[in-house]
Amino acid sequence: MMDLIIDIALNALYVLLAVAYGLLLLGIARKINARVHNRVGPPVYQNFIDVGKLLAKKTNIRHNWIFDLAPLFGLAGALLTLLYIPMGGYRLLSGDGDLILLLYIMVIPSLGMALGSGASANPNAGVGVMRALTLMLAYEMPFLLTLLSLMIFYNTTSLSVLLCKQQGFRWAIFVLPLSALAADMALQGMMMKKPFDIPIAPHEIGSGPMVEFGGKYLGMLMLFGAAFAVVETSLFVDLFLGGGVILNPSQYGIIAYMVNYFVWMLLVLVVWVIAVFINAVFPRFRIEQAFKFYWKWPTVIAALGLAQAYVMSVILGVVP
Amino acid sequence: MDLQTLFGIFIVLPVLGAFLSYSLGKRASIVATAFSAVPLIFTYLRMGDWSQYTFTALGINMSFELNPLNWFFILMTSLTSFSALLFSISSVKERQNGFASLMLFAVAGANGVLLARDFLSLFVFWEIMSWSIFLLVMRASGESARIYMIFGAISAYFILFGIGIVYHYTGSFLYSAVGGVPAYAWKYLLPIFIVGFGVKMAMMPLHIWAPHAYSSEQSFVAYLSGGLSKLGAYGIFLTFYSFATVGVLAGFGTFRTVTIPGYALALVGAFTAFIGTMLAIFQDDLRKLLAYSSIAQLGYVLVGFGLGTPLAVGGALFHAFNHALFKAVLFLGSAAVIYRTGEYRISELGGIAYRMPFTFMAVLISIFALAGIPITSGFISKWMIYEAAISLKFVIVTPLMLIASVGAFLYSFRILYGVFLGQLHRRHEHIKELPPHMLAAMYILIVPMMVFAVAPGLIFDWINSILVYYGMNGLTYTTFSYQSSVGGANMLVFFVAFMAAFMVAMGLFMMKKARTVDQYDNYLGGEVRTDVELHAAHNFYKPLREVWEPLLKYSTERFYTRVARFFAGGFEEIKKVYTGNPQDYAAYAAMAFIVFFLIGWWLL
Repeated sequence: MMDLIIDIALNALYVLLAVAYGLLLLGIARKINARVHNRVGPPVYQNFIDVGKLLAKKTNIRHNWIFDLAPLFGLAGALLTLLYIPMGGYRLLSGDGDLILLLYIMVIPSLGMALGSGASANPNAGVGVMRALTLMLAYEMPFLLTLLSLMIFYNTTSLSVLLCKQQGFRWAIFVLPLSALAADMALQGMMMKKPFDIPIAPHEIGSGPMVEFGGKYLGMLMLFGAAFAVVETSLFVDLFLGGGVILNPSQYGIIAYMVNYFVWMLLVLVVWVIAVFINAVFPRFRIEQAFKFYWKWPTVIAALGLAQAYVMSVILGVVP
Repeated sequence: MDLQTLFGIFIVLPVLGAFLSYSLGKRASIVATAFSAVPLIFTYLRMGDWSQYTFTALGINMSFELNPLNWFFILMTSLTSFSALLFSISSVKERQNGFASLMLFAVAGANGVLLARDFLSLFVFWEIMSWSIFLLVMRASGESARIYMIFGAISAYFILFGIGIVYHYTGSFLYSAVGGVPAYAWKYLLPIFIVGFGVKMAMMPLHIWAPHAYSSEQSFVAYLSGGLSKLGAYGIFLTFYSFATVGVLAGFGTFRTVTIPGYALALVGAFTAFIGTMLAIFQDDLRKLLAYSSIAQLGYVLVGFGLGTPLAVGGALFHAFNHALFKAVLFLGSAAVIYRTGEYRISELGGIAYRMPFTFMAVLISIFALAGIPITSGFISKWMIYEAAISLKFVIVTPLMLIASVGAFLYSFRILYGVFLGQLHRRHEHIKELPPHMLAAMYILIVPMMVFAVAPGLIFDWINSILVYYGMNGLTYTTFSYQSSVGGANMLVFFVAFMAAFMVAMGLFMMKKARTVDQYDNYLGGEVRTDVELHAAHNFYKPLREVWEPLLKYSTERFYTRVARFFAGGFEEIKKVYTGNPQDYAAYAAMAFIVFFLIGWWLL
């Protein structure tokens, strides 16, 4: 019983830390963006203030009960996804579900948000969700191919096993560099950073799916955004950079967990900052350009990566 | 149970019900519902009561059997037929007695096909079912019925052809005698049976009847897509694992432990899933969208049967079950929308969810199952097929399936947004929620989806008994969790975590109150236009369509049409021999006589 309580408390702590870290990442992104554009920019803790303000607002506008599903499913799904993704080598629930389950869980918050924004009857929201789904079909093509190359090469769909096999700096990025490159390109679209911020395009369609949300609704969706900044970068870190596990917990105990967590935070920051820098200097694609781009170059690179994984695993019989 | 009960409950009773309901006129569907409920309840209660009967009638050996496999399929067909008939009590307004009796004939035919253990009864019941479908499609459109008819005939000919070959080698119609067919004959028999049964499953490129037939009366289509299309899956399962058996299949060679015919079937299935999904995305007709989605989903079932590992076959059976449930609910949802608004084009609808919230909830849960969201059992069956393909390291089949499932999100949202969300048109402001029995028809099918999502072990017990019955290894599972060789998941943990996360979100959400505003009170960049309807559902995926345009110009249907036109042109010429002049006919007769005479002389 005591173990269970400690377990739950630990999981809650990890999730809380992740959301806080996500908000910090969003603040860092705003700061970097401003500096690249030669502005001063808000302080890095600005997003904490924003969320606090939005959640404390007295006036909240809703359209109907389906509209409420957006923040509920959005935040619940985001927290659930955080529970299923290993952070700094700590397993949370990822031992009870594999990568395929995680992929489908990751859809839940976006789906809730699509439902809620669709229920607002704002045409901008409909257009925004259409663009988001088209973009999803676009970037999932290379992303799924890279996932498949990993799953074939490591012969597992379990994230925990994947982390185990990458210990000792045997990172997948060194073994399958082409897949890593394609995954990073897909990541840019997944995080909806420029040149792929087409669904939320504030100047064209009034932030797309977000257009009708305000007050507590926007606040909760901002928490969802923060959580997903961590989820998406952490997914890349777990898949290709060994999840930040550099010390074996069974050997070093609690120190290993802390060191791994800090390494994980650092790696997430690196992946995030790369995306933010690309975001800062690029203009926006049109949705059909984005689609053509993704099904062309990243897909070719990912297919080459898949071919490499296939040859190594099936024909040469390499067992990592 | 004895043969009389088996035959009586599953075949005689529906036929009796058909005649009775035909004579009843306006109350026909109520009676038909009662008659279809009996086999359903009976099936559910008689699980495990396996029995087989062989007898000789008219000098032919006939055989019927209840085993785990056909029990499983009878359960899904009778569930969907019951719910479709319950729904049709109000939704079918014209000539309801004809509708109800034809539905019951189709039920009797389907039950017969499933129970049969000899080819002759299989074919007879197959035709009863096929003709009932033809007449039911005919009620809506003669043209659709004709297209269905052509493919139905192709299916029947191929099955008959296969039966002929089997009879040639064994001299018996019994399934148990198929083992006598020599291995080399399977080279012809396999494709023949797969085409024959694949038509019913709308396998590519034999799928083009489906979008036409699925545009007829939607409560019937719920049964056609949910129940009857599974008979194709059943036939293919039988062909592979009962008639041919794995040993014969492996005789054609294997590709990384998967037999070559199985691999070919998996490839066809994966392409069916991919192309069906891509076509579904661009449909504006709700019924056609669901039809293409149905084609695509059955592609997954084909992949599972093709791969042939216990996980894959189990996943395919589970997916067939899930598809029966969620596609029936979706077609009933479509029927509900058409019943209340009379409109089936997605771009003309919108905002229906605000007036029909319970219908929306049913459709939403089915769409979760369709898209494979873990909240419903649709996820688990897809997961099984994916994991089977991944553990076999197949690099063509797996990406096609995975990307098809992403495409499923696109067309699912087209339904959700275009029909149920967005702006409610003024002309639809006064529509009402469905009456309770129609909602019940939908929610009956939702319950198993939710139960098997939390406790998949319950359905794995059934699937496992099928696999064991056909000599395969069992699955690895407990009541709440399941494993493959490469991964696994625990649904109880998932649901507990989901509930906990939902509670946290709910707590945060409840802290502040919100004021409700109407749908016209929204942000449009400062421009207030209340006179224009702003439902952005017309040509929803336009950018994507423009990208795909060069590929969309290739169409199987147009190819068939061109072939048909070519032959029609040729026959047009031949038709000119019918001049209507008796002297010409006399001349033909004389010529024919001379030809026969010469040939006969030469032969002798």
